[in-house]
Amino acid sequence: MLGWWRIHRTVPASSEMGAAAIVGAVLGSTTIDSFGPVVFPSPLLMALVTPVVAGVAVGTAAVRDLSLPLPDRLAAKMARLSWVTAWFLAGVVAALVPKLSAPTSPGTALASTRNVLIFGALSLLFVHIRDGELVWVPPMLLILVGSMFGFSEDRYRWYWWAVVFEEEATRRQLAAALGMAAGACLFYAVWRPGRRAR
Amino acid sequence: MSRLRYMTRTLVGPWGAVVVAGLEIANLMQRGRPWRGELVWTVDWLGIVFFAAGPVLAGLSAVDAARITRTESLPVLMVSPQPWRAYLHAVAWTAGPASILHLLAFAAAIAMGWPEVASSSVGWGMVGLALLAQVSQFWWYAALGSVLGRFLSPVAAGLMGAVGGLGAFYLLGSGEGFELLAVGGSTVSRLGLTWNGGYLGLQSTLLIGTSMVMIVVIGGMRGRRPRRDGVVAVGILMAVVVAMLFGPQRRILAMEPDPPTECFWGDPVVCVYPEHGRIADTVYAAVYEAVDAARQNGYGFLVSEYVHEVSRAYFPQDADTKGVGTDQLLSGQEWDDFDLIWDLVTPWHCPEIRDVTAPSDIYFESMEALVFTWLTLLDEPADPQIADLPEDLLEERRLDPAQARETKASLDTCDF
Repeated sequence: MLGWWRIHRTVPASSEMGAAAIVGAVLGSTTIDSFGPVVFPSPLLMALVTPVVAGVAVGTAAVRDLSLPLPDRLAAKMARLSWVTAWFLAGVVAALVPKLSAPTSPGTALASTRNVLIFGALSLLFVHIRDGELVWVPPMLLILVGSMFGFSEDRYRWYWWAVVFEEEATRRQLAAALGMAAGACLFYAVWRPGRRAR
Repeated sequence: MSRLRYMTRTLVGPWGAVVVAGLEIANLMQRGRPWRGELVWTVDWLGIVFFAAGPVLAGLSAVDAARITRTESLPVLMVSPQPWRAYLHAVAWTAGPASILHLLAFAAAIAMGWPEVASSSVGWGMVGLALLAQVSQFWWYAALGSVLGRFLSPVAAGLMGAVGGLGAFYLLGSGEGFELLAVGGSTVSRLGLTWNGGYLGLQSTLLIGTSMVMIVVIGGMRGRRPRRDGVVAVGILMAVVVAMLFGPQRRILAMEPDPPTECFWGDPVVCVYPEHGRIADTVYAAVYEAVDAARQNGYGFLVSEYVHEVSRAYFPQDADTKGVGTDQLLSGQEWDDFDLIWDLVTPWHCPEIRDVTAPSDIYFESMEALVFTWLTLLDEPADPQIADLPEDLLEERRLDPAQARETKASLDTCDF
């Protein structure tokens, strides 16, 4: 178990997860309508934005720094699946812990959970690319691009692809987010990541 | 081609071009492209991409710098007399493609606004300066990422670089006075405004200067002349602080308040700015429709002799000229009857209506009574407040011609 711990990026991922919980606790109950010179088309609830760090932590934890040419047996696949699932659970906890001190609506708590699942799944997509050094790119892009271009002025709501900014999670959204996370976990379990041979 | 392939395989920075291309396209397509035809607004609109592009480029650049510092390139760096070259190389392959794409986006935006955009009185030299100030920012963000990445592991560098870029955007891009990372990014018309050349010149100089400090000086600290490099770095950073305190305070300045020149010589004469030629017919049609409704019902005295489109600098100067704002039309929306008629009734020549303190309640009561009256005269009032109102209530709230004449006269005296 210690070896497993060591060949993955456990320490940076734990730091990120801790940071996610702290940032969420500090900023989670705030709403911002602008950032510097940018005025958002609709105000952003920070409780929905801070899970991006937890999502990146899931992706970071999934990167492994050592890959031995050993057969990739079912047990190893199952271990990977459990490992990344545990990190998703930790992400959900990190997103929800701040809510214990500053209660928000149950709908928002579910929305934070939805976002951890989405950000984590997106982050996992980049685990196999460039030694996993770009796992932050998809969740970060979704936040930056979505906050600017994701709101439909005509229909006065967020587009489907910027659903992470919707303050209440519907059952359908939660199911879809769970599906994304499960798919990303399975993909990760089946396809072994590893450091490129140098 | 093989060089490009090599760079995209060894560095992550060049892949930022994919992100920037997507952002530029999305930015040029969003919100009905209201900037078409206006030169200053077109360039300022392009600045919207920096909120996302800056932090992402900083993050990618940080990953490259972390790799250069930590991994296989290190021995090469240590023996090189100019260790900053590797960093400059990585920054150039991050910011260079982004810069080219930004200029291509500008060319596309000009093509979309052609030929109206050619009628701008703002010089192309000034446009070049404004673009330089924007493009320099790609280099600045990449240089910032490069500095951060040198002190971090490749694992942490990307996220920290992006967060650092966001922090810089927040701290150095907003507020009053001189801002190193000001980009414009306006979502309302800039007609009647031009850039402050001194501001843009200083901004570009400091952006390039600080980028060089971040790449060359900090990158070369392991070199033979750390003391001289340190002096240069401190000097340029102090110049930034001095510029932020005492530099030009306004990026955008008002131009001479010229009235619009593209006119339809009917009664009234309706004029729009040549930059907004694409909406001219819609403006004429809407104004004459409202005017006809007033005249057919015996309220012809409400109609002025001239109707001028207003700009950020120009407002009608006499009671015979009314103004209309066209922001809704520019972004492709329907012109709201209420807004149009409010503008046609507003005494634009009274400076009191643009005072910091709002006019008195009497002003707004008079305006609302007149606007309501005019709205009820339209053939098909689109305003739901009017359309759903019972006939007797409508008659009760509508001013008769004598009352309307008196209310208009009192508004036109600017005595609020």
